[in-house]
Amino acid sequence: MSTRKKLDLAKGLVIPALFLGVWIAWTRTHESLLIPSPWKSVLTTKELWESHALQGYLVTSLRRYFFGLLLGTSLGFVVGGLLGSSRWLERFLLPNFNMFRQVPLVGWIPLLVIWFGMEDLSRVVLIAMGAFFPILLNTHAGIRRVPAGYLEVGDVFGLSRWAKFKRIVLPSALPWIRSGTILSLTFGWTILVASELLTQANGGLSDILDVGRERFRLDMVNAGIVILGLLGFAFNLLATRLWSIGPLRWLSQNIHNSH
Amino acid sequence: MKRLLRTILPPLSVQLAVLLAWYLSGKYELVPTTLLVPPERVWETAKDMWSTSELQTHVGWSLRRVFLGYLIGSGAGIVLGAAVGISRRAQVWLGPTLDIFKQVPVFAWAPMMILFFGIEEASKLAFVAVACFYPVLLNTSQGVQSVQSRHREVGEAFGLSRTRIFLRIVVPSAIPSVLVGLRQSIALAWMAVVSAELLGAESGIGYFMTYSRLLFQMDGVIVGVLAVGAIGILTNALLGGLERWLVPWTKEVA
Repeated sequence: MSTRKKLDLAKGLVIPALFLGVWIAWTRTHESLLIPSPWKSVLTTKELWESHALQGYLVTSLRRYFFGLLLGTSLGFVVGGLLGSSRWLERFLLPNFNMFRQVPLVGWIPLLVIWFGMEDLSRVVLIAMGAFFPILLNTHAGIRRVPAGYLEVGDVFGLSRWAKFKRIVLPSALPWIRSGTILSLTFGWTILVASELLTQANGGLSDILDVGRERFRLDMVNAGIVILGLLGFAFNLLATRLWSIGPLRWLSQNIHNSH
Repeated sequence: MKRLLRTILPPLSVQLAVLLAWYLSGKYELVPTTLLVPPERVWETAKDMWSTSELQTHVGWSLRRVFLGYLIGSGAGIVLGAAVGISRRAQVWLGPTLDIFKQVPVFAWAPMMILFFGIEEASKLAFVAVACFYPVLLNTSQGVQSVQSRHREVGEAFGLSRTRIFLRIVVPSAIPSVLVGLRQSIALAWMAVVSAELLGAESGIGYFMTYSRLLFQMDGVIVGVLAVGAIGILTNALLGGLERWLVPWTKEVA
């Protein structure tokens, strides 16, 4: 990092440091319910960890997140692939998906709760709905943007429809699909929090926020916000790196090499 | 006319098929009515609610909250986004702070807002404002930064003052991007208000849905979902229309 960049970063951290400093100094003399000391949040987090509550929350939330993403992205990929491959399906279904997408997700919650109960299934379905559309639209757009020339090469080589899809369409749509997954992962995390908060106490990470609100424990609420933010940040990072690590790197290289 | 046939009829036929399936499932009781009430009963309920103006009252409350929260949140987003976009100094000093708070999933702010501002209006407006803030901020700063330097240079060559360069060159070229941000954030604002009302309220469409669900009035819940969806689609169309009217030279991005 150049000295200029370092200096810039230091300047950028002045405001957060000042904010934290004033907060700590203020709470030394004016500790109140509404503005608890940040140390309290640290202690609360430690207590949650030591009583194994935090680990339980974490596992529950990650499970919901994972299954929701799995369901939503795989369905989105399949449907997007179909819409991209067939003009006929595209004409009948794409406008409807576009309309559907504009319905705010949280509006479905009361209906989902009636259908699936205040259970994990409702939450997983909501997260899946959130993850579904970015992948669908990006897969579709990626396939539509495959240059016609590439497909003609496939025709010249006498490839079957499936071979053309696997060897030409998929590799050249991959960058689009990649951005779709990134959007799904980040939006999915936001929707996870909504699904947990709006279907009441449930053993997930948002319980920290919910219990904190019920007991007027802002130290707990603050701790919950920081934990959810850090995890969101981690998933953001993961989403952008996802395609260059481990098995997925092999996958994307393999598709590219086969072409 | 031929275009109409090709673009409108196919999706419409799918919608009609779904409606028909819904109607038939009610008629032959394929699905218990506790899970899905037939469309004609939803229609009756909606009509009743309209004539007693219950529906309008709830929707009116929600829209009022969205409007005020949106005004605050996107206003703050435009001002800060423009500052960060124009001045490198603002970017250096403020950027990391804005990035840090951006990491928090929007909904995680809701419980804090309730403790800070109470369960009444103020916390809902604050939450909507927070939900609007980032899309507008990011798109505004991007729009301002993407102003081509040669356009600026033309302004300088003509000896325009800094304010005039800003008003005549920076603002017009940033507007398309700002409008994209405004459209993204109206969707988030609407989602935020509905969730704030689901969390706790005494009016508004979200409150009405919770209330109907607790009384097992499935028709009410469906009317609520339809109203929420219709308003979501309408606001998006409205902002889309605004874009086409104000900046007709940019291609609309779905």
